Amino acid sequence: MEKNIIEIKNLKVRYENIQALNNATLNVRKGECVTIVGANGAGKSSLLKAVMGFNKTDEGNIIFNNQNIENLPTYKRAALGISFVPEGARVFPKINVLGNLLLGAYKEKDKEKIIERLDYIYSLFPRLKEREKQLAGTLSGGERQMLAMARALMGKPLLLMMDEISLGLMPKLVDMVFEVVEELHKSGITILLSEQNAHKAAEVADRIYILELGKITKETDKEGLLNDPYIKKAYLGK
Amino acid sequence: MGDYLTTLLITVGIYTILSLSLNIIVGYAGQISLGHAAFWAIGAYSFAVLTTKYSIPFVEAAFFSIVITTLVGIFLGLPSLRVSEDFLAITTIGINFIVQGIFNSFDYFGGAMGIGNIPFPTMHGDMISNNTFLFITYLLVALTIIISYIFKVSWAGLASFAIKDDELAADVSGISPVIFKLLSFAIGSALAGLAGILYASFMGFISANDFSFPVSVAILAMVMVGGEGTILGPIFGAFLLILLPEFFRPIHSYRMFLYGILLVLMMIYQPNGFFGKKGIVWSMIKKS
Ligand SMILES: Nc1ncnc2c1ncn2[C@@H]1O[C@H](COP(=O)(O)OP(=O)(O)OP(=O)(O)O)[C@@H](O)[C@H]1O
Ligand SMILES: [Mg+2]
Repeated sequence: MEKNIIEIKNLKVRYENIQALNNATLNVRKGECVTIVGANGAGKSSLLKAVMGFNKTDEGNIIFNNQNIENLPTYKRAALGISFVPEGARVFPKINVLGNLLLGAYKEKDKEKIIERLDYIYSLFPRLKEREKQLAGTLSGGERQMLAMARALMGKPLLLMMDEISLGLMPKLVDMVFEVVEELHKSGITILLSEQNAHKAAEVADRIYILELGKITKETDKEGLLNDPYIKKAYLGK
Repeated sequence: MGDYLTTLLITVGIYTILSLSLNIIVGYAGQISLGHAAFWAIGAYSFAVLTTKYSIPFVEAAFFSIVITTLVGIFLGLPSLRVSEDFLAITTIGINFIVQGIFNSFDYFGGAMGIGNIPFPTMHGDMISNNTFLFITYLLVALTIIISYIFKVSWAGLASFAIKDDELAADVSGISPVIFKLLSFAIGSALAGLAGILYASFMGFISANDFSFPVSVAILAMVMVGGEGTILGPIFGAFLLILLPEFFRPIHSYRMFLYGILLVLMMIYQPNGFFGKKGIVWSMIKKS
């Protein structure tokens, strides 16, 4: 079995009087695609943000690539190889598409490598190439989501975390975005997703964690997820 | 050149350096500062103290003054890491008053009397002429423009602009808001320190009132009127705001009032400044 890229142990996140994350424990192994499924307010974003360093963690450990990172500032975690696509496609609105992508490769000083990655990313998202010179703020919602993903990939992450990438996209674009996820997974990138859409989660994930009210209540796989009576009821509407 | 015109142009040059230096903090890094005169003051006072109290030679004193201003600039830039934009505006106003207050109250800094007998540059033992001083001033203006340009087109400039655009997105891309905000404060205050040296040396006498809060507002107005984040804009702003009251003498006493009105009107009708995006001057240049 491959080794863990990330191990999250008994993580707790608290906002004033809400315990958003309660003893969450999970791991992602090298090359895996793992999805966290949960309803609105379950704590998915809180979990990913805590891993990235945006939420102060009260308790627990985050071990990334054999290193404790729970006390590092965000940009250092990014420098270690964690890329994060936050909820709502955060791009640099006043910078053009190309500039956004180059900023994603900020740590890389080797020009050849940057060009190589750009080519790869444009092959995944041809639409971004067409809009290379357009200001990111003027892109459509779907294009912005693609750009946010593409920018995260430019950093050549060891772990790519994405928070509800299907949010607000029309079904065709959701399919397209998940095809890209599939592609990335096949190419060997380690991925941690959060999703409300259990169907989509099942399509791409090797393993799935169910998050409820800040607690991981189940760990399962594709079949397990789609056959679980509770999940059918709660997430698949059957 | 007549002495009046020379003095006026030197003043414009000093303010050009000031507005370009504030532009690095406000325009490039998006850190609103309403206390830029404080850094100008620190440069001027460092130079005045080093030369008059410790008889340190001109060039060495100038060098150390810039070092001091840079260090203080980084230190005073620290609040920018913790507070949001609106609070930073208030914090920097506070900094301006504190710095002015210190220079005004401590005997070491000459108190309310200020510091006099600050040396004028010499060459082969003779004081240089005002025209030579003017020439040096504009060499330093050129240097400031070059630094502004290099910073703008460099990786650091792009990173700063990205932080200004979306700090969270920059952070997740591995771009440290801490480093680049402080870098902009360091460069911005170093150049303000340079302006302070020029001012102290040219005037020969400084007092804390020269660096009051309205002066900071005036410098910010130069940046905003011209167009924050551009290079031509702050230069244009400095020329306009200094020369306008000179050529229309009757409004001279009301110039702070004029700057205030100009700032408000610009924010409403030309928020990006004359040389910024959709600015009238920039649009005209692009058309022709
Ligand atoms: N900054 C905050 N301050 C206070 N409470 C917060 C904050 N952020 C999140 N919460 C609360 O924490 C809980 C978990 O929120 P979180 O955003 O992690 O959920 P989520 O699973 O991502 O939901 P969604 O699917 O709607 O994005 C919610 O009850 C939310 O109201
Ligand atoms: Mg969420």
